[in-house]
Amino acid sequence: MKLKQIDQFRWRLEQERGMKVPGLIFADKAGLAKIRSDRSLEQVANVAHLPGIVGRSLAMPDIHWGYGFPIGGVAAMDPDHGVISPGGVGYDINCGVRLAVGNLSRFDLAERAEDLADTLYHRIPCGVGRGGDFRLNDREMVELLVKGAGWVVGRGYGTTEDLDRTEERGCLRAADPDALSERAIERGRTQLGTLGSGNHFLEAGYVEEIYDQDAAERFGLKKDAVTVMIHCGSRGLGHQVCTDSLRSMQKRRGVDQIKIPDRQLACVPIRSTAGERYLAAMAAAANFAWANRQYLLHLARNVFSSLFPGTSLRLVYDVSHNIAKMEEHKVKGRMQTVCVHRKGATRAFPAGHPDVCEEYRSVGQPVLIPGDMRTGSYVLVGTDRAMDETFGSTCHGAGRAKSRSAAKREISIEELEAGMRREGVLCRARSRKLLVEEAPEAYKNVDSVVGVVHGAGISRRVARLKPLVVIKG
Amino acid sequence: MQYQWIDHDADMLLEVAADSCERLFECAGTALLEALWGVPPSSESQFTSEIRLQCEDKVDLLVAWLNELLFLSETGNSRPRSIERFRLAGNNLHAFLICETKGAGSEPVRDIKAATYHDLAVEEVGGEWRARIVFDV
Repeated sequence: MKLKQIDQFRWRLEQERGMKVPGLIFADKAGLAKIRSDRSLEQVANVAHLPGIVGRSLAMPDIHWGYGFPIGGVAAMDPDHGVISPGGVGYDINCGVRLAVGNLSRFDLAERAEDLADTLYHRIPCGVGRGGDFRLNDREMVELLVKGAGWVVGRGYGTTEDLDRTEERGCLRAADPDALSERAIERGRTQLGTLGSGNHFLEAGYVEEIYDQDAAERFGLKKDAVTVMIHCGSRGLGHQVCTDSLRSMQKRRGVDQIKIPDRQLACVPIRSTAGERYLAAMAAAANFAWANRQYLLHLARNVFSSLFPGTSLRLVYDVSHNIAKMEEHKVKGRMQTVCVHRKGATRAFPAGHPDVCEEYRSVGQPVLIPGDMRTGSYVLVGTDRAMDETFGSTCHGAGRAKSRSAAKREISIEELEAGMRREGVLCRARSRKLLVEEAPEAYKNVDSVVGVVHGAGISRRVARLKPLVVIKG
Repeated sequence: MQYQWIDHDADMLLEVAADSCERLFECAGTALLEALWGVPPSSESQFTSEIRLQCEDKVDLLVAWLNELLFLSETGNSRPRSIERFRLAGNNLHAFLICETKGAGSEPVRDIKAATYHDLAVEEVGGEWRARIVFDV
């Protein structure tokens, strides 16, 4: 792999045989050394082989080795000549993050932090196999998959302002429930309003530092204000959509004659029945994920209201990390529609963009970057440079630095818990063993990752958040 | 027949080796069920469930087999805990699983989203069958 340094934060991956475009990696020198230690650069090159890719095969600084696309990978395809690949979205379709801010300060919360941790843990369904408050019938499933977060709001679990402050207003119109298998529907029936496990979490914290006063004010963020961050996705329903789609695309390999370097990059032309079917199924799964995060926020609001009467939690924004969407971008100097795959990457649209809700349009779209469960997280804002260079995309988190088994070998639960206590973070988890796999030491330093996207100008720091209470499956 | 989980930053990587393709598939299934459940079933409320799968090639079949186990582990009222009998004839798979009724035993210890095609090959090398499977977690 030939890499050429462009500047402090950009590296060009030279176009080699079979690649249709070069790669562009956002990283500092230390980050690049880590990136080189796994196979993620090879995956950036693999993505560049896909038919119809335009611009460059992009890698954000939290990139790491995934399957098909790297995690932290972005690619845009020409809809008339390009392909759609479920491997460019992932199994957890529309895994994403939402952030709410409360009208109380961290000092109000301090005395009842243990109560808050216990009540959130009791009330938020989390962990493997844990069902939620719903068992959706066929009609409800269809409505939910079509309407997304709006279905949940329509039942009284949120407000229209919540929808305004959600990417795509929490609903992709291309959704078609008929494109989902019975298995996908079955997996989703009891999973609305569930957190799941792994790296998913619900976190109460506070605004530790503000970097951009103007944008922070517009987003409703004040120093020391209590925040709630929710990270989860489309659960088993989304996993099944990806599994079903990959399997059907494998069968079409002989039909479409598309040469790919990794079978996980299985793809079909966007303008084909199979392509449209995947986009319709993926959109339905994305809508399920937005509905899921909307209902989880409703549960968190109830917990806060019960413990801190008079409290409100205002949604700041909700972003998707794993998705493919038709968007307007400049390609070779001309605006055109492209299908942007973001796998472990966040949309970062700038001020003035019509897809940014009116309330935030003068400053740009909030970008939510969770770090690890002890260090902190960031709120950024989208920039024009992201539109010019990354199809309006930026990083999505800290990115893993250690395997799960390495984390278990090298970190003890006692050390982890002591470290959390020292930092004043309370944690409730279904499994202490799995908690170690998610230890802060298993992740890259979020400050460094954010430093790269800020330094490169593809998003800008607005505020830093610090966790106080972490709920994990 | 042997398997081991290899370090992988983001996901879970399983390496399997066996003296036949049939044993390879069975071993991969056993490894996955052990990763999901931790220990073999202890409940008395067990029963046997039968599954049949057919695919175009061995890679597809291995992915379909493992994803079938994941689907069964999450949905319905039965939970596959171990493999009782396993047959592979060409690209046709026939297995009998020992299952527990949901709620009769423990819940899965971890969430595994899917078996992926990434870098997956089912191959015979020097009389030994091998496969490496990346699971999304």
